[in-house]
Amino acid sequence: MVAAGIFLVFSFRQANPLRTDLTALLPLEQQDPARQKANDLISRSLAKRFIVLISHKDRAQARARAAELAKALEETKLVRPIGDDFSPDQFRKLGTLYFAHRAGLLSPGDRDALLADQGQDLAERAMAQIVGPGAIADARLLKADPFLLLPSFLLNLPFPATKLALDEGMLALRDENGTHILLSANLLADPFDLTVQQTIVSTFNRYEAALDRLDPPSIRRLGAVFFAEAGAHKAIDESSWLAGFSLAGTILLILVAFRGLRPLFLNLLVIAAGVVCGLSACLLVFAQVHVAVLLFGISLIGVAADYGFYYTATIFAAEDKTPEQRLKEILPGLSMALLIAVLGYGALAIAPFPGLRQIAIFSAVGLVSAYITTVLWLPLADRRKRPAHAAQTLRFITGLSRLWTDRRWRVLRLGFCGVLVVIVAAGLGRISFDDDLRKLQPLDASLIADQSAITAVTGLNLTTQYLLVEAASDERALQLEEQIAPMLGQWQKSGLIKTAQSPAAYVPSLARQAENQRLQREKLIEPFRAELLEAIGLQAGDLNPAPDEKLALATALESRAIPFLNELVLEPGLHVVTLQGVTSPERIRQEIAGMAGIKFVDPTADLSALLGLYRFRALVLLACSLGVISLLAAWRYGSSGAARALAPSFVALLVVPCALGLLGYAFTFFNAMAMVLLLSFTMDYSVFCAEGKAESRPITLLAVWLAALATILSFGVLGFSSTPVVASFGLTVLLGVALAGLLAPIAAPALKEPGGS
Amino acid sequence: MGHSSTGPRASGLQFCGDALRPIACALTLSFLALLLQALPSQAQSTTLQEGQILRGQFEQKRYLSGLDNPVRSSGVFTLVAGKGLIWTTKRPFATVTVMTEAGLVQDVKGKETLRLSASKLPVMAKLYTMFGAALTGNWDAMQGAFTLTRQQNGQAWTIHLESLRADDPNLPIKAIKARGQKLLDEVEVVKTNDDRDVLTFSNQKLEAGRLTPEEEEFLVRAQR
Repeated sequence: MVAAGIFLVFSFRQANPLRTDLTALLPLEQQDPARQKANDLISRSLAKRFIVLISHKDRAQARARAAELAKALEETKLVRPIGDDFSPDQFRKLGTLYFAHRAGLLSPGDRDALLADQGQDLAERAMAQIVGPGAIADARLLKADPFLLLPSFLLNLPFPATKLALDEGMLALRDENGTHILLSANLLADPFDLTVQQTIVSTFNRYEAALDRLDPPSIRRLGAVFFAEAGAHKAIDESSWLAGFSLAGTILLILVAFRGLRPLFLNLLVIAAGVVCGLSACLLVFAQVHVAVLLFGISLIGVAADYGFYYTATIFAAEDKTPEQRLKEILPGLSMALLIAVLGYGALAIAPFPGLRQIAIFSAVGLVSAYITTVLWLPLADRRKRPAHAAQTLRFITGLSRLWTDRRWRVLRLGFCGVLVVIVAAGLGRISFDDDLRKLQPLDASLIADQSAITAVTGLNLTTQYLLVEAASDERALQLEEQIAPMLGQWQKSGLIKTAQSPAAYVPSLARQAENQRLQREKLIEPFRAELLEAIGLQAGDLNPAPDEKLALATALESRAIPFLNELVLEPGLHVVTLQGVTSPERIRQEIAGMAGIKFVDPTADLSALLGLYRFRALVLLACSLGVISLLAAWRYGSSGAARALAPSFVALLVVPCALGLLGYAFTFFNAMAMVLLLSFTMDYSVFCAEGKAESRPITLLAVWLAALATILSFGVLGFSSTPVVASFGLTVLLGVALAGLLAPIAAPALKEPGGS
Repeated sequence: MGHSSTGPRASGLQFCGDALRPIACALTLSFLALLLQALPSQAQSTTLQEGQILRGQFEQKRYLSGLDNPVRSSGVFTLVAGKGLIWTTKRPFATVTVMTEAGLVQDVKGKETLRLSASKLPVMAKLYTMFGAALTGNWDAMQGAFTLTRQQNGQAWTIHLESLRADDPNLPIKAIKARGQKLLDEVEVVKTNDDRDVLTFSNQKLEAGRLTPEEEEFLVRAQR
């Protein structure tokens, strides 16, 4: 244990071996490095952005409040200067970039016109623009671009649809409710860092609190940092009272049962041994551990507490036995429970899921360590004499266990079984599966309201679906994007998407630029330029012809003139085409099926699908574990003994999903994992009862019920969480453990005593 | 995820505002020239009433710095209160430009060659609002950006607007000079790069009559 402890300290010192990305839990054969990388990069850059909408019926007020808030946020030093992107400098950069490479740039419509030999239309359009109102051109532009193709290119760049416009350096919109100002901010620090979240949110709260009460602007916010803060806030608030309740309950339980603190320390020792050894084994094998595995693994170690409880319960029979003798009596039960747990969880290691494998190793090693600690250390640390209240407690336990044996309680027993049958019959058809991530992780309601308000006011469509383009080089990727551009146009026309942004729309491939140059020369300049120049009174010698040099994607990225573009190009050959307003992800999947190098990515749906897959595999593995355990039990207890021993677990595993269905809960991946855990908890109760000697039956039952109560206190309280996924996880354990605890006496061989049945 | 998605869209948005700025500026110029058309002069208010139509001829000389001769054009216009403006250039080139609250549409030989919708370019709507405000004699829209000097000489009047912030990239206008009597006769718009438009109006008639079916069609199409 000391060695394991030292190893852990070293591991955590070198580099944090904990992983938090859910994609790390993906089955190995399904992990797509490009997709994962794209998701990582996109979520990282997205997560750093947030927007704020300040609305007031008076324009000046709205602008002043927006400026104050921007200043307050900038003063935190956690936010890049707000509004920098609107500086004239930014436009100058963009103009310089495109202007120098105008020879190869054509808007899609102009390109189509030239391809269709309609150069004359473009020449006439230029003439109309030069003489008509809405004059775009000055002499400098006319000399450089007499056909005004560059303004047309700029105007047709695919921007996300929005109702906002630049108004004196601020993005603004006026409607019947007044003026709305949008601040777009970029965090300099990690939005998932608690102190960053708190600083930003408290800046907002302070600012809002200091506002004029009579005529305040409405301030709405949207961004990962706010959602994360709300989530963390809620989780911390909730977990502190849940943990407090759980801890107080467990201590109280031990104090009431044993009337001393030593059993508490003994149990803590067992749990600590399990966690330290399990985690270091996991790190030794996998080099890193997922946070979810860690949490689940630690939960599973809760099973280890059963061993401690079983041993500590034996002090009620301490008057005539030494600690060693008492251990010897319960050793078969402990060993059998361990064997079943390790074999059962060994089944998890067969699955190609890194997550489940990590859990298997964590649990197996953790449980073995807890077992060894119980067997080797607990008798040494145990100096207690039989407690004074032992006889009374055991009498109470015996009385309770008679509920299952006495003839006079037969009606009650039948009634109880009847209720279970009714629950199963009524609930079986109501079990529904739902892995929608958005429902599993409900977001803060007021922030959701802010989000819809911002979407409604600004027209910004905030979805994260995109096409991932993978090719050997940037040039190849741009060409692929140009190939699918007509398809995207069709999608837009048919309403499948609202808009799309593809890197090639901002920087055409070199091949496309060469073709555009040729088209301009052959279809426009040669046939129509002389006529146009004459009409506006320009000499050919006055012209400032476009340089031949093509715009390379790398140049465009380096200039950072189009910040948008830098987010679309993840790395050479790996591009993103963002899609807004997708109405049917399924149709998009169908349309691009079979296209090499193009994938549709819907991060939320992908994650939901992943959870669905995990749920299914976890249930299959649960079934395998049950199979293995049944064989073991049959070998050890014979078929009827095995049926009796397994009955509490089987009944709990059958009744709980039905009960959840009746209560209106959907069955998710997290319920499946709770069921896996449930099997482990409840098998211990069965095995202790099946292995326990008839004369120490009350001690065994005391241990089982204490263990069940402790489990309910530590996991069952999660049922009160306001996060549905945590609540349904807690409820699964609560119902299952309570039921299996109640049924545990069935697992014991029948007692031959007068009046028994 | 669902919630954390302000990124590329927001930056695209900023870019959008920037890239379209010169176009918006150019449009501002034309609008301002037209605004003056409806200026209520001190002597005699000629503010258009709802349903009124102003028709006339125009001649435009566009002086582009660096070009020896101005680019000349001429044609007719129809200004319909509350609906929009139809600017029909006849020489040197037949083209129709229609401006409404919904944006700008330009036709060459009956074929639409340019459409700037106010939803894509919201500054259009803002300009149109300014336009409408001036039509009803509400000067607030202009006061912030210009100093206004009026001179009256009997029936004749001149107005001189001087930009308060000539370096404002959103409004690259140095000055606007207008003169007229009952109606506007001539206006000159000087841009910050010293390009200027000189517009002369003639044969103007203020009517309460009806639009021609062709005009009606233009305005309807421009509203789409």
